[in-house]
Amino acid sequence: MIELDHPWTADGQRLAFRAVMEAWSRPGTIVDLSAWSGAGRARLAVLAGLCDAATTLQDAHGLLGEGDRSRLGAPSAGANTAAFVLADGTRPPAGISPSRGTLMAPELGATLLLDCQAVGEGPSLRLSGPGIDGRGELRVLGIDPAWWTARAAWCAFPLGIDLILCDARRIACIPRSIAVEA
Amino acid sequence: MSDADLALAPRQAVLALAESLMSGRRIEHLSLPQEGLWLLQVEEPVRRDGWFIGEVPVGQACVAVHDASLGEARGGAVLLHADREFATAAAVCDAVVRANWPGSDEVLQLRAAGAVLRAEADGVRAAILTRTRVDFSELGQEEA
Repeated sequence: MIELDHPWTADGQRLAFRAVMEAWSRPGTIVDLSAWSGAGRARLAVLAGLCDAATTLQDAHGLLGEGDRSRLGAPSAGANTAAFVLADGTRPPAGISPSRGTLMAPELGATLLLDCQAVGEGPSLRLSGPGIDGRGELRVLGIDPAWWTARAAWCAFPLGIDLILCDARRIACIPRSIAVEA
Repeated sequence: MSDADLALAPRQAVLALAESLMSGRRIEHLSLPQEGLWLLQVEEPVRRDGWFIGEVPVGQACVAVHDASLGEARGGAVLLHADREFATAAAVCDAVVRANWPGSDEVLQLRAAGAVLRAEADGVRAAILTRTRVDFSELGQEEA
């Protein structure tokens, strides 16, 4: 019958999911997803591992093709209610106001995937907080500085958004509990 | 004969036909083919409370078949079998029939074979139900 390629294989999605969990548990750590991304960028492997029909997705800047969007199976929702928001990090966050959750349900805070030029290269960010021994450093190229201002306004733990930075092959995660100095 | 009768046709026959229909064509999954259990929720009619009546095995697929000369045909299938491969084959057959491409007749023949099996099963079920019929009319006033 018809064989599916990464990132749509069950094994690939499981392995990508484990890699994303590893990145979450060590904020600022760079994880390479190219083995499970197939021909797509790392953002697709992340979404394929995290999204299904029970989640909602907002593709704020139309980064996904029609076929990939359909295969993800996640219903669309507004940027202020979607569980996952995908955006182009090189563009400013104008008009995007993701869900921050509530004090009774902080888990409703959105996960924001920012697609950028390179993770592990470019200007340095200083990170501190749970999961980081002392202070950490993460280099990211191609993120509009307005995203860091917006993130600071959105995050007031336990409320806020969880951030996944993606380039063609690699990702790095910055949970809402992490302080970022650009 | 309905679309669903294809699900009752012999599995190997459906897979073989789908394989031949895919030959020389590009198949694109529009959604990920899946197999598993669906939880059926129904609504209680008085208080409108939702409750779960049970689970059913399901396989589902949705495909686009691309042919160099005929263009694109789309089809889908949701079967009460936890069988992703069978659902994909049925979706390919569905696409060909909907677009009325060559091969439609073979698909319709398989549907007809499934319809025969369904009619036989319906007959057996009707006979069982007839034996359980209860007449609630008063004694002496039974229906003729």
